[in-house]
Amino acid sequence: MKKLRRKFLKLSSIFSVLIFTGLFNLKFQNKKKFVWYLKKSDK
Amino acid sequence: MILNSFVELEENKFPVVIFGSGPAGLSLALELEKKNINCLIIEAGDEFYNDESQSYFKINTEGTNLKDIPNSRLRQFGGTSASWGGWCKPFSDLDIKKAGLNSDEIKKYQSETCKILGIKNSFRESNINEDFNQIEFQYSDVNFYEKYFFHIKKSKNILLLLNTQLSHFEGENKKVEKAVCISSGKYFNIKSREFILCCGGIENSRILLWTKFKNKNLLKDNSNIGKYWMTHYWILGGIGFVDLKNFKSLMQNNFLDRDGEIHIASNENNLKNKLQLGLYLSTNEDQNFIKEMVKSILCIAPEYGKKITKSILNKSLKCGNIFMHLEEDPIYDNEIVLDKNNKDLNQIPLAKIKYKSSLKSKTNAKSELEKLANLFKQKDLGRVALSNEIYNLKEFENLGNYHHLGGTRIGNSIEDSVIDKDFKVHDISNLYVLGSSNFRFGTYKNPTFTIVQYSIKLSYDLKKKLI
Repeated sequence: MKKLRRKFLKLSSIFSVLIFTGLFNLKFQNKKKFVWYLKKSDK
Repeated sequence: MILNSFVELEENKFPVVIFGSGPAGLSLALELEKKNINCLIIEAGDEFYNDESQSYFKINTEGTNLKDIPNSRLRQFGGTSASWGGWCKPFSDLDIKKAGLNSDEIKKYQSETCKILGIKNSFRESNINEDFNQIEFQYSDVNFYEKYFFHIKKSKNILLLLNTQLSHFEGENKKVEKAVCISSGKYFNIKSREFILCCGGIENSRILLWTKFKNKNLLKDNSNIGKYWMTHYWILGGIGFVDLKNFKSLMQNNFLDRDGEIHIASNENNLKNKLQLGLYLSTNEDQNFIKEMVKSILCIAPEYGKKITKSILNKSLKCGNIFMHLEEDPIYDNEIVLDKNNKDLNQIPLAKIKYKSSLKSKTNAKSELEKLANLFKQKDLGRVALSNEIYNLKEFENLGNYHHLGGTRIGNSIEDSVIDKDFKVHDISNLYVLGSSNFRFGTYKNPTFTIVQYSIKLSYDLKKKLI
């Protein structure tokens, strides 16, 4: 039982690390709007 | 050694009792062990996570909505390190001085802190311009359970008692005499010489507030308990392209070459009255992400869009999200209070947070991101787009408030703080507080590194006091 719990803990800990630092990084936020800072010559 | 139930201990044999087995409490215990000082650790939770134990950490908030507070405070051995992964960076000299501490002294414990957190002792900074520095973090994923539980089980100097909740302290004449604890519904008292509270960035305040409520004299003049509570906002500030070749050329070989994110922070020496901020430019290799970014810019800037398409294909241009860690200004009315309408299973009031997010933090985020966007544009380092919410100073999407800071803040005087520069509660000779609740200012840095550093400092101070 303890071994199972430890495994769960380890998995949940990896999941949290991803949430905290990684998972969101990989997605382009389509629903958000952005205001670009561009040069005149870029347009 | 692990105790199965509480037994009376000789006061002088275990002169230090530590409440909480998170990074603060365990670091202190391990350092005391090295100095041959025995201690008893009281942990409210069990060896592992369980829902009943976690129910003691239910919390209500009043004011601005806070995200993920319950998930970032775990009531179990190792505390929140059980689900933690953090970019570690020590406080700067300026941060330490602002807290009233001696930066040379705190720095002495940096190498030992790195050993505890299992990271390299390298935190370089490289100047980009007058506003920004490129900074180096070290990533720690140390789980204190995995690293230290079996060590403590075998230790003769450290005793550990699990599933035992600290209710409050009792004492008179500016001294704590006993800690009142509860285990399986039964109350008992623990006596010792030194009492160290390390229960976390919210719980430390709650326990001191309950102690104040239960005692007529103890803490009666300490009116700042729970006050100046802060958090870090973790938000998406924008998106951007980075031309690494131009970036490296601007920094004249001082670029800190690392895989993954480029970390940038506001230049602290040039901040004046502003707040600090950390920027994390993720450099993404995902083809879909790159396509979406290029599409987004081709619509409004076709010339630049064409130019960058080639550069992205030959990998000299990186793109990604820009995340921000925002410092908040300490505000007296942002506070932890006792929630008298909601009690835990032992009928002790839970904590409640009264909190309003700071406008200063938002305007600071906007102005610093604008500076970065203009720098990228002028020096052709790439292009940056600000999220519309930041641009218009609207309520932004909060990705999580994982850090809980303040509430038992450090300071010189009882008029504006709870503990002194030795982490000792003002006007009480034997009660100390460790953890991020001590922070006077939030900075943008993750708190764990500093929490451990402060714990090591206290171990040396206790050694002097006890021997």
